[in-house]
Amino acid sequence: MVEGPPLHDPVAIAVLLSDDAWPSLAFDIGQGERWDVQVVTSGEHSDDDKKRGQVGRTIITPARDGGVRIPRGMNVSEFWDILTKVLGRAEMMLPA
Amino acid sequence: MGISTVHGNASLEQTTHNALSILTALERTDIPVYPGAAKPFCRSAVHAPDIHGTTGLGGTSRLPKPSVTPVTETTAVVAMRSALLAQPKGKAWLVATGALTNIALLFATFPEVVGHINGLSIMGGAIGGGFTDAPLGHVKGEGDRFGNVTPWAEFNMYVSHRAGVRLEQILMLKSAIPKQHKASSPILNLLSKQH
Repeated sequence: MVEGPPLHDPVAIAVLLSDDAWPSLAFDIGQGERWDVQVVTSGEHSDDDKKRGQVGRTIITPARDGGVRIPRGMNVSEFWDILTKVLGRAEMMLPA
Repeated sequence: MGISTVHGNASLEQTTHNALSILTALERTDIPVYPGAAKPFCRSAVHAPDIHGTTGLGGTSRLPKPSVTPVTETTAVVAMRSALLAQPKGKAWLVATGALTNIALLFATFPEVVGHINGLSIMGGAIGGGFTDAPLGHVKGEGDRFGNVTPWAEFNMYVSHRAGVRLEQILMLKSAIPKQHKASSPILNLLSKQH
């Protein structure tokens, strides 16, 4: 890897807090766009591309009602600032 | 409120151990850990030891031995239901950062939870097609790909695709985060200096 490792899981938490606690994260959820998500299930778990095909692929189409929000981006440097502060607070709680 | 563990990067035994270890390190063993599904609905479990090590949290020797054990008197989905329904309607969030098997089982068994929670946040899926401007993976000789475990699929969706389908049918997902955010070099340096 040349640029740092990808970090995904904390983003799924950060999005919950962005409305009230951390609006500076500025998640880009489009203008109220919502999506239907279809998961491809044909295919097997395998190292062979021919056997697995596109199993696990998520295919999205615009939702007319219901559907999910899928953020397209956010303020990444703000995210790292917050994550660093949170990790700092966690460390302060540990015994010396 | 609580944590349920699931098969995924490593076996359920490992992920449960890891959750307990992290909570021990953070002195938050008041948070109960419930082991959930050991495998997907219809397939054998698939793990990722190449990326995460056989323990699921490889690359460190600093995680403590857990000081508590997981809760086994109540099954995970029953505990999830109880905890979520005990909160006022529209308040609690449910977050899935791993395979979706527990979540799908919860909603299939206890559909009353679906309308009660504020929302569900899922880390999973990969869309491609310029949906975001995050850099995509590139495997030598294969060109760009938007999946991370296969050219098409993100790991959580690959290992629990039937659970994903069940959730899609329930159509109450409020938010999902595709896997397209990467750390940049200055942050990697910052984390390195702290160890």
